[in-house]
Amino acid sequence: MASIICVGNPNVGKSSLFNLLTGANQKVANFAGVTVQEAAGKFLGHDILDLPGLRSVWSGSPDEQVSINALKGILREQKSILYVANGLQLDDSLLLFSQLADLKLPMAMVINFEDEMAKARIKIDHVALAERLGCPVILMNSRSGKGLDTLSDIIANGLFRIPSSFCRSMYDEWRGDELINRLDDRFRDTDVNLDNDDFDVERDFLRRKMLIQSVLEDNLDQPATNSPVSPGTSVADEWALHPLWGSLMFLGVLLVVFQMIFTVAAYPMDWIDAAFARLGGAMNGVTGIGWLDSLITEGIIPGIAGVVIFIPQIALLFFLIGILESTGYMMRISYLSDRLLRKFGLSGSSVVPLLSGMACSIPAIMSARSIKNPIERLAVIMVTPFMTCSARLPVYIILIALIVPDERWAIFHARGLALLGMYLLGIIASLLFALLWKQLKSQKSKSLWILDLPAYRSPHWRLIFMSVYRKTKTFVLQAGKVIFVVSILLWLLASHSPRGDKFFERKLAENTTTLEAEASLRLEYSYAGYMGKAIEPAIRPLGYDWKIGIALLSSFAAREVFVGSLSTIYAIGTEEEMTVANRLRSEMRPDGSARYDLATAISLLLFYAFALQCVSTVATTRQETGSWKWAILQFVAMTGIAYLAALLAYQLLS
Amino acid sequence: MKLGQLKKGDRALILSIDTEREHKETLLANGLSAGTTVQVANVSRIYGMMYLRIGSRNLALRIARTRQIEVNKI
Repeated sequence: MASIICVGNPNVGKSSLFNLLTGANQKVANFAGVTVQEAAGKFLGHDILDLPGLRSVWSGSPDEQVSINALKGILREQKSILYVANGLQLDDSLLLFSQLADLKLPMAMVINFEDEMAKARIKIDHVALAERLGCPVILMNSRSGKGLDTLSDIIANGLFRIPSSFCRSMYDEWRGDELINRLDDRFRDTDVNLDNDDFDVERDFLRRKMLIQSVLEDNLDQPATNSPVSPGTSVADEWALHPLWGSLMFLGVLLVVFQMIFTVAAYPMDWIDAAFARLGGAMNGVTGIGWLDSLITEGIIPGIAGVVIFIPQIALLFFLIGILESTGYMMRISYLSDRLLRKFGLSGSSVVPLLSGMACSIPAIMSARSIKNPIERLAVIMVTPFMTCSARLPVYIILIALIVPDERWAIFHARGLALLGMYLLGIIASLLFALLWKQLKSQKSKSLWILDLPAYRSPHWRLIFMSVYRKTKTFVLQAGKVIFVVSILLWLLASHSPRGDKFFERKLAENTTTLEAEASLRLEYSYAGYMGKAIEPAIRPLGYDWKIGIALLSSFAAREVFVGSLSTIYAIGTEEEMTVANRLRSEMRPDGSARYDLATAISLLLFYAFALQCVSTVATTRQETGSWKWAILQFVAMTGIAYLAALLAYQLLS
Repeated sequence: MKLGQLKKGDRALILSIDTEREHKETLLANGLSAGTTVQVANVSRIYGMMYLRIGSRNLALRIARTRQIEVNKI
């Protein structure tokens, strides 16, 4: 079966079409640069490859280079090109089409957004256009699937055609390998092509543009060019990009997001917490085998509860970010923040990776490929893990609940404001370290930044819900697997001791003990207890005891494990049915004061705000920078900053 | 006159672009070339950005960059 490659400008719906064809779940959003690496799938037995968006074959950002390299590859392999064009911007889309036509490979063109074209009163004679271009042209709506039957027919019957010489411009006489050489030259030294007497980029573009205009004049019927295609977008942008209202609107959006995370998600979170507490009680003694009952009720159930309880909040966060991405508002945030970010050595093009870091650092770091300036790209990779990712959310929520009262201040939920504060802390930390980076890697930026402001679109609810489901499932399964294993391991280490029974009999005989005191003694002299005590001297100045030390150690590879580990540690030896929050709340110091007082909780919050406890992020930084140097520097610097910030906070507040 | 001198609502024809060679390709690929008509949808001095309508696309450029583009107001 033949291979088909999906190519087109950024934000024309390639990934949406790819998902429709292959049933994949590639990320889809309403801005340029969403796809930064190839994705493969199958449709009717054919291999389909989705590439990052490309403006022209002379483009040069790292994500566009993925597409250029793939194009060079298909020239040798003679694959077919499924070209995806934006029906609202056909003049623009046909520029890249004309360049690809020079490759003399079989092509078909999908004109996407058929529904929005109708609304904008844009009519196209796609049959005549197909005749003119010399390859099939299909009008489609990749959201609804309209036009899919025609496209299926073309793919199934191999109806791709090499475009006619009419749409090939000045390279008719070229062979494929000559074009490859020119593309190679482009990336070796930009001057090679531009200084070449027989090639001038501007002349080439103008020639193509004239060609495109003549094609469209005959086949396209649209309203006068001085009226905006999307009047709603113009009106909305008057507000969204207003010097005052624009900034206030952005702050309002952030406020609403974090208020909703606490207010809306609080109810299901309480239900889940209570359900797990009841489950723990119900499972007590169910097998009749002491050690197995203990493993289930004190190891597995509290550990799993530590992640499942946060599903509503994490899903809601993904949902709200999905809405921002699908409406086109993300690019407006880039517009508003470019000038401010430049003071920190970043730019508006850093906004998408940084804000994506609020969900997860791994795709966020990868999305920095769309940044053309290599120094800015490296800065974004280095500072993105400071942004508050969803794995920090469980830690923040449980600690905030311990120190911030559950009450409203005017219309604001106090805990929601505290959570917003933690997210702002992540943003400020990112910016400050970007500034430091700018001082260290000082170079006057010569990058040219052009921001494509897409028309606002109503959220594509089905795709958003699918994306929320997929991301939440990934989070729960990945975190769940680690937490499951860590819980069992912790239970083993916390339930067994290198000391014999006689040791405990003697210890218990020395003191008048309650059941709780006995459980605490057994935990203290368990393997886990010894581990916690071994690092206690290093963490005592931060306000942590050996029990918190065990949770810290267990969460070093994945921070989300922290709450589950604490839940397991405090469940060891207790019979009581308690929620995760109540277990922490009831934990006392030897002097009878609360273990999780303000100083300790703030110290922990700061430690988790800055520490890079995510092995996957370290691996992604290594992959994206091509060097362990940056990955190790990032890990060491963030861990060091976390330690110092936590130390300072505890010493000042205690 | 320079593109950056235009005000909100103005329309102009691009005459020439005087910029670094590597940037010219990016501008061209985004539809900014001699002979193109642009309309200024918004100018924001605070954000340092100029919001342009080029054909059916909405683009934003830093105001500093728009001074490198020579236009003729229509």
